[in-house]
Amino acid sequence: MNIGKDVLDKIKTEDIKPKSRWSFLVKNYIFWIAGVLAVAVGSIAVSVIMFVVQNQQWSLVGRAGGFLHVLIYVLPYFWLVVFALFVLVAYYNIRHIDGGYKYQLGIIIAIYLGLSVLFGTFFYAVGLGEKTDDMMNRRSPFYGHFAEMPNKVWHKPGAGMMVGKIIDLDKNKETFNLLDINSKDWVIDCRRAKKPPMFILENGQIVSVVGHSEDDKHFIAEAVLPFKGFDRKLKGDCPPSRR
Amino acid sequence: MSDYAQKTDNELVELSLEKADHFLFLMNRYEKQLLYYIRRISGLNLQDAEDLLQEVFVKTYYNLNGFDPKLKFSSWIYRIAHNETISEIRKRKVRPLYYYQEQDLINIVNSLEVDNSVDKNILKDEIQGFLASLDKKYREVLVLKYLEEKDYKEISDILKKPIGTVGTLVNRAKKKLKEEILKNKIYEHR
Repeated sequence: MNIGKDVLDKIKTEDIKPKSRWSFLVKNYIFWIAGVLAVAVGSIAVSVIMFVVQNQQWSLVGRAGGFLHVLIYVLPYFWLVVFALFVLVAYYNIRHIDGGYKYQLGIIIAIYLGLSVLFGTFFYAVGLGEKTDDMMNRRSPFYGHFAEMPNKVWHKPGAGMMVGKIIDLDKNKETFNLLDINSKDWVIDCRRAKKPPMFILENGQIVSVVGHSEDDKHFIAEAVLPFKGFDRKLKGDCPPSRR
Repeated sequence: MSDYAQKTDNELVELSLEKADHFLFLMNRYEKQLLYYIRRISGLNLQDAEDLLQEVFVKTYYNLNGFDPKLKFSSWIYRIAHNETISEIRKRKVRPLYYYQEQDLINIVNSLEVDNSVDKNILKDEIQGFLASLDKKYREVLVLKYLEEKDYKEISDILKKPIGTVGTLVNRAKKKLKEEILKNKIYEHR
């Protein structure tokens, strides 16, 4: 059997032509573009993770039940899953570009992590993390559910901390009514409360209040802090510039 | 026509893209070794292996524009042969029987660098069974390294695995074969 001759006859009889060069190039470019997109999504995920973690009330960890307890509540699981998913997408794409198989999984993950953290830090610095979180909160009830989880850890009136919206600030700014995340009304005495510099109390603001409750309606504030977490009930009638 | 034998694989690829007849020189160059390779990793009978090799050549010709000249052509065509063979084995849904020649077995026995207490004649008779018991990933690197005499870079390009992974697989494969030898007590009777 002359295999070569038979194959050549087949090529000629069936008029088999080599697949065009551009179809291979297009396939390679598609994998490159998908790889770049995977890095972009990973970077956005990192920027949101940074934003969410940065904007927790870390000074209140002791009151909230300890670091580990807080961490379980505040970890941005949605973005961690997105990030992990896109590590796999990036790995798949790099494996399929020309010569991509030469790289070990560990190296691909390290490069992906490095690029995502680098661009993610930049995105966070220019505010993309906050904007993405905000947009997702507004457009996806599913995402909003995840975003509300950390609020629970920072709202424990019995432990001296609450999260809610200022709904009726008196003109001397010494007391205000607070609608908490469970839709309960509180009267807050903030005469002796510390506030961060440049932070001015206003109606509609979502705040974290630290102090102690006098009864199930009155709360003496020792500190009032801006709160950047998301809550649909509080946000429902809040103007868009919630932060 | 005789000067075609002097041409490199890459030159023949370029010529084949211009005129299909030139592809015959590439096929003649690789026919024998690929036929052996297909039989070594599939155990197909000669007729079936030849039919499969025809498909390998047609596929190679069809994808000729996708050949990356940074690779060795031999690695690329071995990769196609490897993939087609694996796919054929899967289609047949049978456990492949492996085909090794006497010299193949001697090569593998020598590669193991076993000490003098091991009876190499008995080992040569037994090694085929040991090879069959290995995982596919170990067997394929051993075949490429010691029977096809490919280096790590070529094996990496054929199997599309990182070079480090290939090195690890070769070492583990040899270790597993040695463990089988110890387990089966193939020592020289003194």
